[in-house]
Amino acid sequence: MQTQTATENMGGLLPDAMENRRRRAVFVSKFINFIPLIGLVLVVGLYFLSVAVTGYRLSIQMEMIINKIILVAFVATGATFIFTIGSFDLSLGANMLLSAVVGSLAYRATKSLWLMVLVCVLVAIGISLINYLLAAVFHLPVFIMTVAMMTVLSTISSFILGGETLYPGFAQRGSEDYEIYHNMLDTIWFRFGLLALYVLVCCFLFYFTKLGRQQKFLGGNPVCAKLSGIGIVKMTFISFTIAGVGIGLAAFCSTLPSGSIESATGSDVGMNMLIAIVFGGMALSGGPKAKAFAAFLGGCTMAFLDLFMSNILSYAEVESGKDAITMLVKAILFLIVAALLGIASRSKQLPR
Amino acid sequence: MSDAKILMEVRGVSKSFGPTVALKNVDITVRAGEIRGLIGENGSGKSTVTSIYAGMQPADSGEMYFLGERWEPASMVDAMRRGVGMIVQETGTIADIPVAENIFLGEEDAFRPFKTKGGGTWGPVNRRALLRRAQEALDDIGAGHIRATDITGSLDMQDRKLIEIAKVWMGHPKILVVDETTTALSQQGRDIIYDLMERLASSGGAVVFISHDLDEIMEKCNALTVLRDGSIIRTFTKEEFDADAIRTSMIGRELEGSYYRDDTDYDIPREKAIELADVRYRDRVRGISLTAHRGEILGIGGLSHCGMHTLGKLLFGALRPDEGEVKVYGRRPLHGKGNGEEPGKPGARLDPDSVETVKNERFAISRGIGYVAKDRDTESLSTVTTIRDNVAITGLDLFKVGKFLILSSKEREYVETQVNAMSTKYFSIDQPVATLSGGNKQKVVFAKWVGAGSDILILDCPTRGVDIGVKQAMYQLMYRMKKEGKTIVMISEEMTELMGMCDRLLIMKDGEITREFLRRDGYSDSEIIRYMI
Repeated sequence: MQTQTATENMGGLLPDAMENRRRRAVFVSKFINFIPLIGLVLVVGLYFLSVAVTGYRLSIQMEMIINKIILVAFVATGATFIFTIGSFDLSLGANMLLSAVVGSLAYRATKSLWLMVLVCVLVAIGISLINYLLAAVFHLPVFIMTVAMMTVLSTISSFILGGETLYPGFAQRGSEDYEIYHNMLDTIWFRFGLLALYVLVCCFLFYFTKLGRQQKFLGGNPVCAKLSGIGIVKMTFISFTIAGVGIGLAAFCSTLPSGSIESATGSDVGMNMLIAIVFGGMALSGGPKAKAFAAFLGGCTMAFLDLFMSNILSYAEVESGKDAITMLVKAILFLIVAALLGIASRSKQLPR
Repeated sequence: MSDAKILMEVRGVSKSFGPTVALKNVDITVRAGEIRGLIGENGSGKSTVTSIYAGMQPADSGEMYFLGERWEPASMVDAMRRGVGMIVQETGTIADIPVAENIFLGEEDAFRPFKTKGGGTWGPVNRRALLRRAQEALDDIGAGHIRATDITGSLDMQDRKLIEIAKVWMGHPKILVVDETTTALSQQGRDIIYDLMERLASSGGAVVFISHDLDEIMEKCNALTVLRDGSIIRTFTKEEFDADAIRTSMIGRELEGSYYRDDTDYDIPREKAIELADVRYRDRVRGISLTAHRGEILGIGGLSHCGMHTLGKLLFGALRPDEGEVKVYGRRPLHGKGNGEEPGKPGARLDPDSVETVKNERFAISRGIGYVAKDRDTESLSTVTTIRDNVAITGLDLFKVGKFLILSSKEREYVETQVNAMSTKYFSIDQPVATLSGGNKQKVVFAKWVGAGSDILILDCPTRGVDIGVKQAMYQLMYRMKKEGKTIVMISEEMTELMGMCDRLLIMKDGEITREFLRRDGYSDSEIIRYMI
């Protein structure tokens, strides 16, 4: 069989017209990939405009933004792996809360920050793997199962907290971890660095190893994936494990700056995670269009949007319901972007 | 026929899909009583023009007429209600609902008991009436063995296709479009559809019949229109039918070389490649033992329900036998798993004396076994995924750098080499497979398995829905692979291709092998059919 170039392959049209069509199609598909980045630039621009107008202190607000990005991006980046294979998990926020609670109790008992990190990550992975077992091994309907798990995990956390705020008791003078906490862990750059490392590892796994290719393929067509030698149970296990690591690190990082945990901690993480993934340009249906970097990109967009909304609502002297209005705006944008992603992913097909 | 009433008229219709021009200024006229064949290579525009007429999608330009009136159907349902029905090439039923609900999908209002002032209906659907009417529709086309209460997904591909036929037939179409439907059917299913086509034509309707089977189309049609690259090339009347002339019109050149292999020399090779040892699987495979050898094309034929498709899945490890085992010979990497010498990798060192049981499809692939499934769009391809991902997925180990690094540049090089070797028509390897024609999809499937270096290829209906040019290329590829010492297990419902290509032919009936034929003895149609039925 002879080798053909792409242009020769298209036969039947004048080469110039065909090449123009091809270029236009390639340009459109590349442009669509850049829309989330354009959205981020736009939101960042609006945010800086709001700072200029209101005169708020940028340094304080930037710390708030980075803290928001850290929390959402840790969870959402891990969740990307779950969504990519065509599954999902609505109990991530509740998982984060329980991991943070157990990790904090471990710290209180041992005064070891390293043990706390380890416990947070292990508990999160453990809970994530229970979800994996229920979904992939026992084949329970994922939506119902994760909603049930969300309730179970929240109830356990509430039971442990007993309606109180839990203080791990970080940085007590004289404690073993005092110096580590003050000089390293309680700095925003440490937490951001940890996030960057996690995102980079995830992106590497996703874009430069077999894992990402196999996960996307599995999300596209599980029947064909199985017949192409992809182990569905193994892939699901890996996805939930990676997500568990992200949740555990998010649990640890969410406890560090505030030094306390209450039952409302992480309550908005589940929704924010979904918004971040969609704002980052990934369809929640996963599959071939999945992007590991989407969660980080979308997390940034969402954090800047939150602060922009907060600034303009304060400037407009809106006294109550600021959070509700912000969530409403995010929800509307979420629906618009999700619909656009749905349209973009519906490629034109020959009638075959 | 020429003075009969014009039922269907298409004038100057054009259509593009992104950068692909599917139709260029197409004109077709079909008269009452006519069975018009449409033939052409994959991607020539046959399905596009008929799908536009049947309301599946709009044309970019041009005009259409039905019974002399301007024809602009809003949807397939609208077209069907007004007299134009279409049976599509791939599966057009929903798996998780009963047969009756598929037949009356979108028509449930007819079974609600109460009328509204606007002429509509409301209230709960009368399920008993719906089931009864659905069963009548199935009985009417001769598919009474399907129960209206069955869950559609539990039926095989042929029966699901018969459900679609019943659904379309029940709408009493004046024009029936049959789009490469017969490739999914056994002779019994084909007879059902031929009967319906003749009934419609003789009652003043018309049929547009798309098929790649030239013998079938020449036998059944009164006229034949050839399309190539989206344009009408020529319309043949029945008197003008000539197989060579039609083929030449289709591909724009004379078909060079033999269609099938022309040698008859064959000795059973000594080296075993894959073996089924007394395998049983439910009631579909009943204690079958067979061996395929290196450098052999082993054919397996029979009627659609004979168990041969299940046998293909068992050979690949996609189904686990209830009893017995599938063994693969000489494919174990000499230095164990993950030593970079996987079967298929150039220079891989394998243990020639190894005998292993095929446990699952992952194991099969790791031992250089490939499987081209009959249900291409569900089992062989992820159609929403790109050509790149579909081809690369089985070859990741072949172009990875070091232990695990996958580089886009290496992947692109690998994929382009494979799809170009199959002469696939595409504009970018990053286009979704769904945008390719049936034949080009099948080329992508072959690229996926041949590229992965499969030494044992299980091909289940490999030429289903592909044109003669592609078929010839695939036959040549199979023969070349045989000569290279590879093993081909070819499962097919088309006896002519089995007889044309196979060294050995096993005929199956009711889950058992009824007879083995050898190429060197010559194949006899009547003898083979005797053991099939």
